[in-house]
Amino acid sequence: MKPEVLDAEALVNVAPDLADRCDILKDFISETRSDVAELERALEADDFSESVRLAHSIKGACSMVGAQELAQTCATIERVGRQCVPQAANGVRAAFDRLAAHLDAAFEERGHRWS
Amino acid sequence: MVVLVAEDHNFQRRTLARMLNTLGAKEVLEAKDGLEALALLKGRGAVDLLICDLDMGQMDGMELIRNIGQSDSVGAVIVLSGHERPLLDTVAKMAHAYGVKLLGAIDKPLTLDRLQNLLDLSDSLAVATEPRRQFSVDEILTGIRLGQFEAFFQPKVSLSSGLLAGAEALARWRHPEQGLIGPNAFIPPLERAGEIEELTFLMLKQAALACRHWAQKTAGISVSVNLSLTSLGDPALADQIAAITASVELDPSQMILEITETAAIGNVGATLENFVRLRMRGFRLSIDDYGTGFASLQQLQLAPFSELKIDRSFVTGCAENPASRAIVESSVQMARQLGFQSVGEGVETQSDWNMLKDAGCDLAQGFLVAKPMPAAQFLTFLTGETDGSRT
Repeated sequence: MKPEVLDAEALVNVAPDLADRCDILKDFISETRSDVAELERALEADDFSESVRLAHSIKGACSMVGAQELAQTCATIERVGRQCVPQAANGVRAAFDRLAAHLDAAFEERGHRWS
Repeated sequence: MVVLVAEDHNFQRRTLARMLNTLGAKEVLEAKDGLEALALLKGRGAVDLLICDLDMGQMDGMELIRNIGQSDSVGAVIVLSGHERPLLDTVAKMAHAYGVKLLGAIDKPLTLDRLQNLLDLSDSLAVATEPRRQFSVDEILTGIRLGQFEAFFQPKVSLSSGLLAGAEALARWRHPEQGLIGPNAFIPPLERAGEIEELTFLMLKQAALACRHWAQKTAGISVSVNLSLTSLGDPALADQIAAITASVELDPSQMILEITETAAIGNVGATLENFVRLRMRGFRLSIDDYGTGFASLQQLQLAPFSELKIDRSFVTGCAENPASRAIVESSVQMARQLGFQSVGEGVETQSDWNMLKDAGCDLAQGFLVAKPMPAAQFLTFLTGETDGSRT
């Protein structure tokens, strides 16, 4: 089964309050944006241990908010490391962009309540 | 509750701190690695709970736990990690070996429910584990001499009948300003200073006296007292213990002496001499915290033990953890083959109980049965227990 870009239910288990969830997601997307950029650089530089470390961190953050697809992409990088470098960088970027777009749309749609 | 969060990932640390605030933590401190955590502890003093990640920059979770084991500045620790279960189990054993109270090693993602469960556990253990501040050996010895220390008793019950079989005596300090203080705050410093004897003898006396009282209500309820390996290096120990039971006319077979092999045995000759003499006088010997530290098969062959206590780190949650379950089952089986009575420590849930019962373990001890309680309260428990039973 294809993982969801964002499982909205997951974050309810972390923060029952809607305003809190909004703050957490904003914090998450900004932190993950810079983590993903670092991971791309590490993958391109063939820095194996740094890639695995960053993938592990991003996976942890994603699992807290229910960002399943990106979590799974990072889990794969963590598991197989160096072997999948060229595809991995593209995969991470694509998964992150889908997640960011998904969150942007969600914020836009419910802007009056979320911001 | 004051909680320190050590986690190198900014978002995860901030979110965890937010969750702790949601759950009503009094104060949440944040550190991005072990070095920062230690600096915060040094500056601020003890905290109730440390939640720490394993992979961190400057100083990782393992090194932080090792440092905490030497400082008594943290009540309890929860390890938070996305790593696989067997690795987290090894961390749990490592923490135990360093003398750190580990409430749980939990894998990510963390939810409010799971965090709440662990905080509840931390609360319930707080009296027993929380070192509110560090005490000097002199302060502790003065407290002992002023009569501020007393034995609490935690029941051990039969898994097959649910009936009370005995109780373990556990030291508590009724500090005039700090309230009730658990053993983590005073036993490690006393052992390090080689000054544990006074407390050991106080516990032996109170336990012998209590057990004598129980015998008047119900026959055959044993009392267990912890002996430090350092005390066993004195060849006169067995006679001194025998004098205590004789002074209150307690049958030595009602007293079980629990020994944890926290370090290699120093004086092997004197230790074995004590073991033999204690056994010949009728005392029972028990291996405490089996499966951790140095407690090993070697020790089983070395001495005339009659009881094996399986460490709580394997028993608590064993129904959900295949590795723990395998260790519990094989320990019970080995105890049976050696003719030992087996005891599961740290029984906290009905599923822990069922698992031990299915494994054929003899006795259970833990919060599911009862927490440690003062002598007077234990007498009430004892009286109630004679007509009730557990299944």
